[in-house]
Amino acid sequence: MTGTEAIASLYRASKLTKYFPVRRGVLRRHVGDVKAVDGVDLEIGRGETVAVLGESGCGKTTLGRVLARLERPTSGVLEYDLGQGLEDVTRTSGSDEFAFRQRVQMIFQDPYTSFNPRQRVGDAIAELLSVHGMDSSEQRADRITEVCEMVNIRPEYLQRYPHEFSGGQRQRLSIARGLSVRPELIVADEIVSALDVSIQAQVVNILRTVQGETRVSILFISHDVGVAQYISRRTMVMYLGKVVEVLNSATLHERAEHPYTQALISAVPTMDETARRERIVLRGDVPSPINKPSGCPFHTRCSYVMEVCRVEEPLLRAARDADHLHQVACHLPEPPAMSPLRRQ
Amino acid sequence: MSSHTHNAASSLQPVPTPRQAGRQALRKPESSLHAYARSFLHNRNAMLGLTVIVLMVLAAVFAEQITGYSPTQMNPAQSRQPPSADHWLGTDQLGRDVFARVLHGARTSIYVGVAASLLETLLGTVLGAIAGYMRGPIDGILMRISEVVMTFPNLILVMIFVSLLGQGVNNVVLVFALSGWMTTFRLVRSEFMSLREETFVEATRSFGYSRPRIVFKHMLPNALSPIVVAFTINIAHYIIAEAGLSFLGLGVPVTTPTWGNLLSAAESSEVMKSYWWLWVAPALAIIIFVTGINFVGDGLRDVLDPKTRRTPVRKILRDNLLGKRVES
Repeated sequence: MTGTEAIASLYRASKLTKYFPVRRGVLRRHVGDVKAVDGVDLEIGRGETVAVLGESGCGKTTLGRVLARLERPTSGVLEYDLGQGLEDVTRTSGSDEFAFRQRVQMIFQDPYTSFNPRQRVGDAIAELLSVHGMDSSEQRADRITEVCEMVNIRPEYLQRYPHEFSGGQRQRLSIARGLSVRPELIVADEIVSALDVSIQAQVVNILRTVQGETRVSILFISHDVGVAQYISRRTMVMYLGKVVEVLNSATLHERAEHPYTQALISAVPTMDETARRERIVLRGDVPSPINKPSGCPFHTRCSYVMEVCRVEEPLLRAARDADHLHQVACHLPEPPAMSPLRRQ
Repeated sequence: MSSHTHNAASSLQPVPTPRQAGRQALRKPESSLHAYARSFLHNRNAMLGLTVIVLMVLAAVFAEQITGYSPTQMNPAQSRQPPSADHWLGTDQLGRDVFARVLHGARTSIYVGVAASLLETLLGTVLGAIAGYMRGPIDGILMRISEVVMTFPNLILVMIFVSLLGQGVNNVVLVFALSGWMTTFRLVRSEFMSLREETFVEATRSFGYSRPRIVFKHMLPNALSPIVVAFTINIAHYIIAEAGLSFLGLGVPVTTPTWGNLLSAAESSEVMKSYWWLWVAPALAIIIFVTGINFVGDGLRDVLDPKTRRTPVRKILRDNLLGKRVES
């Protein structure tokens, strides 16, 4: 994948797949696979924020879990820079795995269950620090105070239990816990989808500020076009386990070429009358990830479908525009024009 | 003026810097064990139960001093005397003091109950934690074993074990643990299986924590309250089981007084009708002790799990009078 020149590469995934076997019957016969992640290439640079965008069931959460090494990939290679350039960490264990676990911190979707209910939140952060080698309790306390200030949590609250906090506070504490060990990459899996819209903004802004201060890389997994665009430099759009388009987040609205991305964008409600577009309503449901359509995964719902789309799977290629970040997996010779802005 | 008010405010309340506040908050003003103990002490029912238990244990320990009789000292001339100033709970057919026998019986009965429950809980918890966390073939094997053990009717199983091991106090403990570990095993296993999927356990894996740290520091404390409650209630269960087994003559040898051995005096209807003190005394001892245990068990659950509602006294009494299903 191109587009990360001038940024040192931190993490690279090549031809990553994750299949979950489907077994039926008494003999647990293997009858198929849920192809949650199906051949994804991804590269994250140091200090870069990449958003993964897609609807429920497109495999974005599984992708995040594989990248955080909570799931073993079915195939593919993960390479991470542990100090001497990119090295294979797909099956690494022991001290390399431990180093990886400090450098990559995952923040989970549900803020209500991501802390041990029997542990004070301060102790939870202190434990992570102490496991990763900060032995002095004063040092730990100072570091915890520091990260709590970054996420606007008063240090006095640290002796409380998780259930004494609101969802937004807990999500901020999750961020603080992840940040405490000075990670290089934060995998944020739908971290604001369980929160109120006003709290979402607060959490996303904190993450953005933190990113600016610490230059930590962020993989931001989301189904919300607006949030993804706001926080990230690059956006990857996933559909049925595959990346269908990679674009520059800043010009996402204008430059989207893939019909699916365009449909996603058109579904975003807006207050701005002049920016309102015709809704593209997709027909039908997302096909089953067990029996994927042949050819282009999107051909069953695409309004521009051609004969070749049913047979041949389109590969990611450079988009028509001049933007070197922009890649798209579509057979259409010309990107469909986005519906014109609707003028009142 | 403004500097004056500023001074006044700061002299009233020195504002700590965030750093000081952070260190303060992490200094652990109170360990969690301490906090549990404190809230247990404030739980009236639990304290009532604990008081009853402690009093009965003390009475059992100081049985000689309290009664002044030996439980084995026979006096045929004083056979089957009703309660009197000399013998508070009367005497049995051999003229032995019933009060002394009840208190000495308490020693063995309580020991059997606590030891069997402890051993059973230990066995069930370790096996359940392994099966629930590891899953896969290990879980399969342990589950099949527990199913095989459970297909035998409990009494028959106990009788088989007794005939294999022979009678004796410690054999009874062993038999109870071997024939009863499955319920705790299944309880702990299912707790661990659901805890394993909790996000916070997943988070500990993503932090690179070691397996013992995950299992014992993060999972076990979250499974502990049902285990502790099951442990206390099982004490009551095994005291009753001992009584039943001894009643049938299969438990502790008759030469050792236990509540169950004393109760077996009520086998004849003549004793039932005419010599009520022979069976009322041990029966009351069992009821009071078991109720006390259940009070403590429920109090522990209230303390250990802040999310469960306090059990009303009404419910505890009803459960104890109508019988509580231990397996649920």
